[in-house]
Amino acid sequence: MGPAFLWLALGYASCVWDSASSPLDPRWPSATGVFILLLAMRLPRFGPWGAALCGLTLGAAHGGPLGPRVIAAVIATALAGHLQLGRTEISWVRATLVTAIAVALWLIAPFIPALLVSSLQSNGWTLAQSLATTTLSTTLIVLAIRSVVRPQNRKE
Amino acid sequence: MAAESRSPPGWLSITGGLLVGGILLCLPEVWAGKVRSLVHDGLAPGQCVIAAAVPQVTHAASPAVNSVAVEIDSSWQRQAHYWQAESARLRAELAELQRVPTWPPAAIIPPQVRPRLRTARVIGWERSNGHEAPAPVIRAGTVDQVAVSDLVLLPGEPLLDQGQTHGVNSDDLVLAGRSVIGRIARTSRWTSTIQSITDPEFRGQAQIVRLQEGEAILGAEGILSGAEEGTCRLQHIGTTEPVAEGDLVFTSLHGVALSPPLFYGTITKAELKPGEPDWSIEVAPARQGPPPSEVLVLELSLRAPVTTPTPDTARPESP
Repeated sequence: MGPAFLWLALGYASCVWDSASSPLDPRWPSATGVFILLLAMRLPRFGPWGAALCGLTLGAAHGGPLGPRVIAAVIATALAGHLQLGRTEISWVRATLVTAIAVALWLIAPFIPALLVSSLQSNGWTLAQSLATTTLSTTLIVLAIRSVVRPQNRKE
Repeated sequence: MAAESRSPPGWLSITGGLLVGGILLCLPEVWAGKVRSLVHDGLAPGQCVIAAAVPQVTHAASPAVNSVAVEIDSSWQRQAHYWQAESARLRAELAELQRVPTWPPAAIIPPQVRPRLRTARVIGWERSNGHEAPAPVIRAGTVDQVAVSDLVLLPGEPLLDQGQTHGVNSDDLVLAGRSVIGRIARTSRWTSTIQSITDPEFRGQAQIVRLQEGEAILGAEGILSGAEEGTCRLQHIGTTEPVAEGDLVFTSLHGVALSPPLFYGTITKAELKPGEPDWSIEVAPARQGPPPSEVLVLELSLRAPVTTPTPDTARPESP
């Protein structure tokens, strides 16, 4: 009960923090990005469901279609879980790449429908810069946390 | 259990999650709106804490819009706009009174609609369809009697130092000199989403106040709609009507509820296109850029009806 409540509180706090900023000017690092990757590292089995709920919450709070965030969250956690981001055996290069791809997917997902119909307006370049900064900072934070919380080994 | 939870996610979970995402993608807008309302209500307590702890958070907006943010709604401009519109309205009323025989005072129905302003804090942001700038989400919902289409105004102290002896009512004072920045587009129990006046889907009744030789004259009425790049357009103004750049645009000055004029913006471009029956008018809103961290929601509530005492009720009861 304790850890579940802790994860729930962490997820709520991350959604509140990200939803309080403009969707077109996301604050960095992305709290929800950090949360879903922590979930994928610590609880990979339940990661997709928790991340999907987080994606639904943030997608609904930020407007636009509800699905893209959910799909991106599921793919990101599945990617991180299957590529064993939470284990010490994998190299730093691989961990960095997996984290960066997962975070980028999470951040870009809500804009994919707009990109498909080319309805992103004059602020496209500014938005890309903002997303790049957020991706970089979130990746660094996730990697820092990963090194601090000492990922579990296979022998555990 | 711990070992199970640390094994990679099963394909069933992944497929299930993707399926849920696909269903949500195809969800009708009505249901999506309900989900959004629920989520906004759920996040509101946490967002209020953040808005109180980190006030600058709520000022975040589109960088493109930030770059053109200009504060033109200074106090003296607001006061000037108010008096210009009030002067125009009184001039038009005078003309009407001179033309129509005056009704006896008993025949005039007192206004039944009372405007009331409610301060609401901006606690989040939502992407709006087809609009570049995100829509603010405020901490006021149906429990606060906020309704869809309520006008949203810029905050600030009322400027007028006048009283009833000058013929200005308290409700007028509350509204005097204020600028409209949008309207309530969607409400939920504890939160509401604002639609900016620059949103392409915004529509509002508007009236021109022309400044001619230093005098304000009530001009034609039209429909104000949002346009691209943070501007508005004034539509349905016939080419026979006099319009010039620099004219002011207010909410319609006819009618009881919005009798104190509310400022929309200034006409920056007015041109006649060949073959078109109407003017092509561009309006710069009173405030460009992101809305402030607090806004005012204008609610129109019914005033208690004034009843004249009948002979039966007026007679004192006998002991």
